[in-house]
Amino acid sequence: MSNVTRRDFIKKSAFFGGAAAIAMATPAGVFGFQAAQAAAADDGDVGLVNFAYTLENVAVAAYKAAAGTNLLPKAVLDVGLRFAGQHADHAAALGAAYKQLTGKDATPPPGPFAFPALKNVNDILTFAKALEEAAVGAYYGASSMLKAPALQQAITSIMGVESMHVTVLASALSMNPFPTAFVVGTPFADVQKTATALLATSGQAGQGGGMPAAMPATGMGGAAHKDDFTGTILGVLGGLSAAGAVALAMSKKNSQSEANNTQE
Amino acid sequence: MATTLFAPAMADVDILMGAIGLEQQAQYAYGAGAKSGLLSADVVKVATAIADQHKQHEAALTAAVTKLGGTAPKAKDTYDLGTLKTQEDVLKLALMLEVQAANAYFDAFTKLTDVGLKNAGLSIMNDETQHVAILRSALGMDPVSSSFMPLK
Repeated sequence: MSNVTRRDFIKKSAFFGGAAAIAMATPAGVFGFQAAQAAAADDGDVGLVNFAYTLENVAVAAYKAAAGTNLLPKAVLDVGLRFAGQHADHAAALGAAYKQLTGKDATPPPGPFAFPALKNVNDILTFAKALEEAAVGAYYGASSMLKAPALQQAITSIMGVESMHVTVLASALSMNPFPTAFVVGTPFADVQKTATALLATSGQAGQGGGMPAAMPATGMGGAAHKDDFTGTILGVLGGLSAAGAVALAMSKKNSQSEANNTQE
Repeated sequence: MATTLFAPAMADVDILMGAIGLEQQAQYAYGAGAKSGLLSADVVKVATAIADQHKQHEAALTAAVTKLGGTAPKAKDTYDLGTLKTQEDVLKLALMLEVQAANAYFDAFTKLTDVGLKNAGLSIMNDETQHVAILRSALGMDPVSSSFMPLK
């Protein structure tokens, strides 16, 4: 991967097939990966794992870019950095899986990325929510494309957590945090377009560049619509602004950890 | 928390029936919570909305069982919910049930054989994890405490 062109990288990341034949390394450990399971993996699996690895790295970069704007109140910033850390965990796990499949280190996307203009907290939360929905959609689609059961399990294990991120961000945007009983994220084809748009930039990406044309229209940029029910649940979350409620939850995290342990 | 709720060799229809049982139990728990007098009016609204999503899950699963030639189980008249004395008790019970359900769907994915059912299960799993995040928030806990499933 280290010498491929960006075009090749994107192509491979988007697993349009044709990934180079890659020797299978002896797998061990990651996600309970066993030799027999790795044997079930094929080039398509390698492409999917690489795509997921790319998405996670883009997510980490996005949260870091958001943090770098200095627009976020500390409470929201803390949540964002926490999510960035979880995406880094995902990237590390996927990178390890990639290495086990190919014997090579996964290469993080080089950046910079064509992130939309992030002019205020609403922009940032909206973009973050779209990215998380894209991740859910990517993994939802990938789950049935992957051949190796261990990789399927890894992807779905990450997906459930991304879905939680969506909910927290929706809350912070004063939107209904659980609007549908069947959560599938952004359609897979749209995720591919978005990934390509985000990756296909050279030095001038980012601030002021506007939303990439292929950005999924999942409430992007629209003013948060706060209906009666949403108002109710935000009340349940503490009678604060939603972001404040999340921050409250975060700040209580340590003091609650004992209770969590008891409960768990 | 048991995360392996379905035996490896279970048929799809049996896994679906087990999932229906979890959905029925969840609806009962939220209903009991709503009627307990322990919840604030706002929490009742949220509980009712979550219960409605579990009802939708049950309906979808029931349709799948019927399509496979099975007969979906009926909900029990009562479920043992333990002792509920406060709103926090109800929320913690709900959280426990949601975690159990989310992990059950996570577990089911590799055991189901039909792709359509696998996808349906995942879409429900994603909804259950959202319920988990909301309930954890409402309990003043870190809403997303782990980077990976199964949830603890």
